[in-house]
Amino acid sequence: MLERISQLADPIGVIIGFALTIMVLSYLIGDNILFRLAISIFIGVASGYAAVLILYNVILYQVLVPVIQAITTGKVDNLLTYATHVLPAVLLGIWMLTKASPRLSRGGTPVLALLTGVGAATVIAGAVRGTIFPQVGASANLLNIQTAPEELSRLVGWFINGLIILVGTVTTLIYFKFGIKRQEEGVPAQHSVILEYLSTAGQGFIVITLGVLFAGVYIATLIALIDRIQFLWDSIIGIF
Amino acid sequence: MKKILPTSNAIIAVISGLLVLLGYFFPGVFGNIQSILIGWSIILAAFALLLGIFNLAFVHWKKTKAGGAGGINSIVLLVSLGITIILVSLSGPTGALSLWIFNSFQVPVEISLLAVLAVVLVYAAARLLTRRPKWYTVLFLVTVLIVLLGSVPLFFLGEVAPLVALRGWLAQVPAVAGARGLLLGVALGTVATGIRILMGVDRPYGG
Amino acid sequence: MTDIICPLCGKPNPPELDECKYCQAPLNASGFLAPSDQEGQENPFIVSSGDSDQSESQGLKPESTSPLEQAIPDWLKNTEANFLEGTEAKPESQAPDDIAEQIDSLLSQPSTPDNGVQPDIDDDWLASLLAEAGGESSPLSLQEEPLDEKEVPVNADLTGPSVEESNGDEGVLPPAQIEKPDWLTGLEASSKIKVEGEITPSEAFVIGAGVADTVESADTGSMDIPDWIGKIEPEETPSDQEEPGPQIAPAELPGWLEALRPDDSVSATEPVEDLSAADVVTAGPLVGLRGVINAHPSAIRARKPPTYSIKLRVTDEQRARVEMMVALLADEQKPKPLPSQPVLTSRNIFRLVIAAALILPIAWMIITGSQQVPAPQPGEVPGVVDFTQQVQAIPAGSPVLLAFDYEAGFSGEMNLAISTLINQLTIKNNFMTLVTTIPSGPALAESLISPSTSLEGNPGSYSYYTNLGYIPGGTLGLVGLALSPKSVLPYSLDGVNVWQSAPLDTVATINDFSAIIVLTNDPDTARSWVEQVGPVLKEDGTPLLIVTSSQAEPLIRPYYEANPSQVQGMVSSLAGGLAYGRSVGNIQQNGEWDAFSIAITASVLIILIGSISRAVMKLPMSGKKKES
Repeated sequence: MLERISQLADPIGVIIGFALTIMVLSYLIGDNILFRLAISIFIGVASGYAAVLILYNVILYQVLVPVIQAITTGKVDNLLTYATHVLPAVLLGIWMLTKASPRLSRGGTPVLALLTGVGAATVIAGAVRGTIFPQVGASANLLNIQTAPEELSRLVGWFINGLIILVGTVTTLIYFKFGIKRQEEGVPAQHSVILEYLSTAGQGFIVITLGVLFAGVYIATLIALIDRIQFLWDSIIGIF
Repeated sequence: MKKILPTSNAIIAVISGLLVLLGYFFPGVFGNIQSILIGWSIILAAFALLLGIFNLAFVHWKKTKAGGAGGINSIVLLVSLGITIILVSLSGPTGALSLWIFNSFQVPVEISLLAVLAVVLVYAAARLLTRRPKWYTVLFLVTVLIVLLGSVPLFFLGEVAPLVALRGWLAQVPAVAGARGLLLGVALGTVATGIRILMGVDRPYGG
Repeated sequence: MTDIICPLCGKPNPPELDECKYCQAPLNASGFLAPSDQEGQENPFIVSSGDSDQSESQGLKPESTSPLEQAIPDWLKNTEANFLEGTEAKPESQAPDDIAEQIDSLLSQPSTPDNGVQPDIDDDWLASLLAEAGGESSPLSLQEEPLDEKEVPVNADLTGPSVEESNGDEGVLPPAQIEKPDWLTGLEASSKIKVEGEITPSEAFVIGAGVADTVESADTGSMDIPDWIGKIEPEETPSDQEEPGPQIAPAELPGWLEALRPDDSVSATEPVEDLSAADVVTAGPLVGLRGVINAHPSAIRARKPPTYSIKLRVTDEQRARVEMMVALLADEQKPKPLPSQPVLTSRNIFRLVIAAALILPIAWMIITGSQQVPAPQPGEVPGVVDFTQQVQAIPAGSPVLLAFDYEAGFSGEMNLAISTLINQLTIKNNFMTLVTTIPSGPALAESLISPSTSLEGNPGSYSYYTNLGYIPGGTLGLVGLALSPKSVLPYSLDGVNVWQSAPLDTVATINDFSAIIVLTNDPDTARSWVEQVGPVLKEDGTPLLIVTSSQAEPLIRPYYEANPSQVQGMVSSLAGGLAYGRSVGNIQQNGEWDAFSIAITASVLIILIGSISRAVMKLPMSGKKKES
């Protein structure tokens, strides 16, 4: 019985996938009930899978199993680690579940505050250590003579490219206008003429980057379309 | 009471953030408390995800009870949610049944949504010059065309070397410059926002 | 008690009131008080017998601090004094009959015209004056005698001797005979004396005559005529006594001034219009005058103010318009359902045409199975060579961390590169540790790795890997993983504590892995790995490799191009996957590459045709706008 079911699972899965693909591609005609049904099924399945994954990964293997093992083995260190690392988090998590109730929603705010504070500190450290320092250093090393190629023909290209990247990085940052004073309403912001030209140049670099990004997104979606057409064709071939 | 709660929430956010930040500078002194707080936050994030899924189910449950045009969609969502939870719980997240559900339902829909997006994007690019074109609009369109033409040998023309070279230069020089500026700008903004939160000026948690 | 007669409305009021209770006119200020009823209150116009000496010595001014007393001008006071003196000096020569007639005329109600109203005002002060004078030699009349300057010397004549006599004869009784001056005659003519009620002429005479003993007569109608009245001599008119002054010759006036002179035939004082038929004022200070506004309060009848309805008068048409407005406003608050759009609109048709232009060539290439387009070389795609070298540098059998952080929708683009990578790792027998920061990651990872072929060649038999599952928290999870992977993921999804057995028992921190390979389509996820995990890896030189989608490649390139590099190798998109496959010796053609090629060609053509046609169509329209 189970073997029979497992044998049929693949074709049934293919049929389901085929039907869902057609339902979603029907959006090309316009928004319709088939498309919305397919999306509802997708959201339900994805949410259900995520919920079970959390229950397994966190509730079961990080909360319940460690404490059971610590109790069964009798290791005090494990219990102490559990008491400091896991148990307060579980209690805070249960406290945070009060956010589900409109009446008790304000009670869960301190837990969110803790989460926000820790997250803010983490991203600050990561941005400084992982992006600002290395990327500024990389921009400074663009025209580092030690990394220059030895051939003259390549040296010219290396220098020009490095200069363009450096100018582009700086002008892009100028376009973001960090440090401009807040202007009163109705009073136009006055900037230096040179800064305006540099800002325009930065805008050009940003436009090129966005164009490359747009092309990349389109390529990814085009490949997805190709994949679906391939799947449909393979399904038709497989069914018939 | 109305003023004490927001202030206490801000104090909690500031103190916890400062302890984690100090753990980066002084790992010997604040390393333990930093790892404890991060461990708590990971588990709390899992509870937050559970809370979000519960809220989703509750909202659609209310929609189902209220009836109306969107009622049937909500019913389908709740049914699929329930069945998935039951089957995946029985099979395990990496069990055969779970993988079958994932590959039969989730993967086809996700890829199909991306495929529809391809048609929408090319339609948008074709209509880009409908409004009064400005210099950056034309530059954007030219860049897109060069990258597309240089990414693959064209079917009737084959590989056009200048286009490939230009595409390579665009992606490696001006695009990197702009991307680096964007990354630095995003990082600076992130730092500014994080400092505002650690100073208690911004309170996104609703305090 | 004698009531106070109100000077305005003529109604009696109790003496204790200061204001009339009918018309709220002040009572005391006007001095219209009954003289006999002022107990303890000295009336400047009434001289009692007991106070006569004092009044004479003080010039007919009894000691009184009343405001009315102070308001009386001196010439009037002197005239009073002269009166009294005159009556003393001159003997009564008037015939008793005449005197009685005069008294009767004084005491009787003045004659009123036929259309007149009985006066309501009682001029007691005049009665008292007359009483002081001790009767008149001439009867009271309503003749108006203008008070001319002749009265001044008359008064002066009267005043003179009276003053002298008053100085010399203090304590003399009131004069028996009083000469009535012209001004008094004029006042008599202009006023009407009303004798009403409690105030009787006999009482007035008693007080005015200065009779020491108050005689209460039971018969209110009887009058006690004092002796001195009978001695009153006929009054000598001032005109008889007055010596005519020297005649002044009239001035010769110029002609224009003569013309200005009013016509003597017309009296200046006579009214312009005929007022003979006009009403006579019967009350108030203008009593006796004709043709003036009657100041009687009854003329101004106090009426209840009219009540106006506050109900808005609205016509039917206005009501209908109001209802229409209310209905319009009520509709504004209701959310209106969106109108159902037709399925086939011009936009939808255009989109269908574009979809057909894309799908048909792709389908053709797939159906025909064309594999003509050459795959890219590893050197043509930046990052592939370094990636290949880094993977090849991983020691065999060592643990490798694979982060499946890409969405299932990008499987078609990334699965080629990932499959090649997994194939390479299985060949080297590397222990693949699977983690993910997105919920769909474990299923994706399991779907890709479970069919892998083991060294024995059996599909699906490769088991040298572990799926640790999902790390919640995103960036926070990566920090925790970087600090201590064991505490973040203590068990695999199968429930096995992999950290206690080889090869993960040697892994304490993330640096202990041979390589960290991140499979992601999201540039933010890649940035989080680089920012949180990269600095930790940098210390020991553990390579961070990324397999990504073409949409994230531009934003990961700066990390790869940096010096020192933060990402040691990168494979992106289908082209990168094909190039990586070629780099490891997998030169198998892919039908998707040909379909991709024709799809890109069709896309470029669609974009070019659409942009040019729109630009061309807008040219004549912009020209028309300029002309207008």
